[in-house]
Amino acid sequence: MNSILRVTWSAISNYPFEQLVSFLLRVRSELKKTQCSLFYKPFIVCAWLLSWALLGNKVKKYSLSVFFQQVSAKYPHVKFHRFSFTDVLRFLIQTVYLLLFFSEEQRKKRLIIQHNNTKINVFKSFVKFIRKQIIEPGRQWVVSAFSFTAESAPSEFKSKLLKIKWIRVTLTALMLGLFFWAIVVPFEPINQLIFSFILWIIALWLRSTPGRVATLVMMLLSILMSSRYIWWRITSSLNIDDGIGFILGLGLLAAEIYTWLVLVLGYMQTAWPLRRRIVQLPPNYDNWPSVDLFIPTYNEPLKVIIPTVFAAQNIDWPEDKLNVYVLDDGKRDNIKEFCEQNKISYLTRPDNSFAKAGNLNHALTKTDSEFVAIFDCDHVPVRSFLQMTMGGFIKNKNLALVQTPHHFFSPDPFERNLDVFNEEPNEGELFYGQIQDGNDLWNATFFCGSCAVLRRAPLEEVGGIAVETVTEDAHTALKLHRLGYDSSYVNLKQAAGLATESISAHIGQRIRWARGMLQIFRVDNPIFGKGLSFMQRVCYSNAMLHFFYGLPRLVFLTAPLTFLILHSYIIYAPVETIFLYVIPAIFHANLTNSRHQGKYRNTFWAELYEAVLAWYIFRPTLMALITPKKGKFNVTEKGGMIEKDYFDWGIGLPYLILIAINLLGIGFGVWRIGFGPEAEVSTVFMNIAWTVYNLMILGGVMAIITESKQVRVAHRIEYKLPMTVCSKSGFIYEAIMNDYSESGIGMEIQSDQHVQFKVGDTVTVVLRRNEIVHSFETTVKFASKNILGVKFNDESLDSLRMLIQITFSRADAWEVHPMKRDKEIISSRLLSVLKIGVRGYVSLFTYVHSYIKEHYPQLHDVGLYFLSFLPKRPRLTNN
Amino acid sequence: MPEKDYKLVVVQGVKGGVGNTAVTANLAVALRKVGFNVLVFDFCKSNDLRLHFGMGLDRTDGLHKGLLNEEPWTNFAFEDRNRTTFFPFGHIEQVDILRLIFLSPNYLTDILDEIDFESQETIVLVDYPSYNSLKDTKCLSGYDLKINVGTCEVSSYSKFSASIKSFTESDIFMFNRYNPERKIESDIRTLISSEFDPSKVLGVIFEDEFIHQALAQNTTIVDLNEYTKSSKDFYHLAMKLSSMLFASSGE
Repeated sequence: MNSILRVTWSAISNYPFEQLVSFLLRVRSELKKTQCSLFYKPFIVCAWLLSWALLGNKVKKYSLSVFFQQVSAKYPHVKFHRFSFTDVLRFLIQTVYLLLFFSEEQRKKRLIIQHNNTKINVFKSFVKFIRKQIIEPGRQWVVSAFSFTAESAPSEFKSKLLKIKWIRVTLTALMLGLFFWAIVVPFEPINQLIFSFILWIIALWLRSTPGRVATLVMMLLSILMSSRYIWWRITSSLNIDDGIGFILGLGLLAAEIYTWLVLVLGYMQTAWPLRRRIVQLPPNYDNWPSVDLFIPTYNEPLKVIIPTVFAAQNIDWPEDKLNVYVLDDGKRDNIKEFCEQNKISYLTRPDNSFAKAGNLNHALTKTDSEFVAIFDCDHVPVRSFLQMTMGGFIKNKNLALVQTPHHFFSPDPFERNLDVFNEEPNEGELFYGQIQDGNDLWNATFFCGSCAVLRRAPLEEVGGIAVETVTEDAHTALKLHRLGYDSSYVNLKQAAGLATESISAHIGQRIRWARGMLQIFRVDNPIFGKGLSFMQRVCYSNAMLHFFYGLPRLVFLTAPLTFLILHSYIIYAPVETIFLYVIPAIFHANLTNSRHQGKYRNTFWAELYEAVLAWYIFRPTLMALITPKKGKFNVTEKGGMIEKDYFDWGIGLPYLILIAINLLGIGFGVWRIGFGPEAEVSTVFMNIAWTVYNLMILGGVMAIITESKQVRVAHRIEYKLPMTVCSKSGFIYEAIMNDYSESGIGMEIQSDQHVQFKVGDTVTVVLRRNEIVHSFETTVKFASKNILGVKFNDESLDSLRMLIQITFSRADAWEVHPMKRDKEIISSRLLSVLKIGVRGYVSLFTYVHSYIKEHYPQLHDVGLYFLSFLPKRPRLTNN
Repeated sequence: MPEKDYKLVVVQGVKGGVGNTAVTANLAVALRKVGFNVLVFDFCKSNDLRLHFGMGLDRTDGLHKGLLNEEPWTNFAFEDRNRTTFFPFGHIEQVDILRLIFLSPNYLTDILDEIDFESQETIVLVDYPSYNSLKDTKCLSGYDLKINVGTCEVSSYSKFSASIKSFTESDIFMFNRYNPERKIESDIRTLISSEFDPSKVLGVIFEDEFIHQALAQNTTIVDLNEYTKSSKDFYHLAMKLSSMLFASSGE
């Protein structure tokens, strides 16, 4: 016994207690480090010891606090420093979640996926290599072979044969007959599949073939496939027995026929953009005609008008042959004073009848030059404007109108809210880049109210600017065309202006255009009446038809719901057949448009643009169609500011309702999949897919009507220009201008070492345009390495005039705009629209969230409390 | 008459103190750096050109001093680090200056004729004193181009206007010490540019502190820092000058 005691004692006494004590001390200090609540401490120690015991050496090297950190990283929403019972619940939920989704196996799976991704990447680069080395050269070879045959094609014999009239007529009739037959011939599904597949291959091949002939053939294919679809819809997809289904189906069909018509007319209108060349002026200045330049204004602030006036005075034209007039319907004293100081003619009139048109007509009676140039008061012309446009008038005495594009140096609401300014083509680019150029071929260029020159005699012959409608410009051009006068379009940006500042202003402007165009449609319909050629009628009709898009767009946004919610078949056909007809039609239309107009508009974006306006445009267009006399001219507001981001609830409301019923539709769809008849599942899926696409477009609308702030009144204009910078101490530096605005310049100093400019320094910048050299005293507002931002000290009008002379007035001021454009890839465009949609929902959520947070803080807190029980993704740790 | 191997370019100020010595030196270095063979002669008694080429203040020997002492001219050909050959004037006492008129009237062309340029494209620049001090040295003739250096000041403008009638085909102009901060200077620049044929205006050099700094370091701005605005301007001048010289030679 004694010996046992002794052994025990010696064991105890020999045991290195110092180590134990130091170990316990370390545990204690480590526990202190973790700062967790007393309640958790025993658990943590236990868990630590347990993991030590189980995993042994693996854990040994980690101290307790590190272990604790790893644990707490896995439970990011549990507050370990203070005990609460709900946290225990959160802990348990998270543990289950972690065991389910973040177990070791899952981690391994993820690793495997990553590994496979690298494999996929290798495969991708292999495909890329094959493409570059084999497919591309092959394509080149095909192209060269094709162009060779195209060149040698019009042989003597053939062209002689085509000159005989009856052969030509017969051939045309034969081809039209064949085309029509190809549209109406009914196919078995399998035949339709093969037919579409062959055309699909042809279209894909044509897409990579350069040349306009290929585009024309693609258009024909697209018309063929869409016509087949429409024909099929009319003949074999209407359900006459089902009352509601039949009526709704007719509605959808009408919308589809409208879309088809606009597509076909659009192809005809832009089949061959003219790309007109500049006509040179006679070398002797004496033969240059005199021009009156009108700047109509109503309520725009003076600061908007000043640059336009100065730039108009800067136009390179014999001084005695250019008369600038400001036509002020606002009859404001400050503008009159400004005009007198700067030797500009200032005109007002006793009344304000017929708004802008009346204003211009009044000015026509007070002036007498042979030509009239018209500029909206925010459109700043460049110095070469008249030299680029007047040559045609001298060459062609029958020419009555020369139009140039409208370009905007401030972002329009779409560009600002989607943050794509200068990155993606803007909304107007399609019209001014392609449609007007297409119109020009058919001698049907529209007058756009600004940046244009008109010959006075024809203008007076048609009674001046048209006053019957609110789009006086297009109507005037129509009248001129009816009298047989020519028009031309010079696709050179010879002026730039301010875009509309908010989406609501934009909508207001478009409503006016739509209403005006439909007024013309009623009052002076271009399809009827005399004097127009067939293609001029087509161009005008398409321009007017375009504005009917409101209702069809709404129909498309709600069409799938008729099945999902009301359970009525509006397209009475099996899903597979619908796909066989509709997919090729959509595919060909998008493929052709992405090739033909991809440079001017992103594929799918038209849907965004139209969806935003759809609700607002369809009522006024209907009204204008019924009662064309009503409606007044509203002035588009420009040059304003938006002080902070906001969501335009007023505009958004109809779309929020649309989103809600679309979501409801998806809910119904899910329910139908679960409980509906099995035969319907594929139909439900198709309709759900359509609804998801619609929701995506509606999300895009949400993104667009979330107004981003615009605090900058003076917009920065990107322009690269070598310039000189003089420091106060007399050192001269060379710099490259990055951007300019009315108030300052951004530049990069060209130097091999960092230049010591500080914020607040005074520097002189010297700008030149050929022989014109101006210097400006400025203050440095921003300096980082060699990038400098300066603000002009002298804000006088003289200084602004000099600045405009060497910046805004440059002949190439707007033509050199660098656009970093990706290649038009349809799938990536679809993805980008999807992203915009998601962005819209995110911003919608953000605004709803902040609204609730502000107005119902308790609700917000309750929501947050419940959300805190949801499992969270573990934080990343070094291990 | 045999074809000359060189192009003789005279740089002369329309009045004193417009900085034509600095222009000559910088232009010479710029021409040298773009690949021409360049010879520079200093004809100004102030003997300042050498300072731009790195020659010390204490070195007073030079071409004219040597000629007076009847030493061979080859003794006074110096080369700077860019291999620009230059002939300083040399420091001559006031009393001896008058003796210069006894030199042979064509001593410059005589010297140049003695040089074998090995058919390289050679430009000979002469830094010539302004009109005011003409009587001190020989009047040059037979040059290919004469660069009239002026400033954008009223006095320069009056000199330009007064002498415009006597200008020949081979007279061109350039502005030195242009100060854009002064309104009057940009006005005069516009005025002069509009009065003369634009093709006759060689270019503009700004009033630049870097140029003065370069002289303080006994060199030219073109040599010191190629990235400054003034260096680039001198390069532009050099390119334009060479195109004037060699385009007119008719090929």
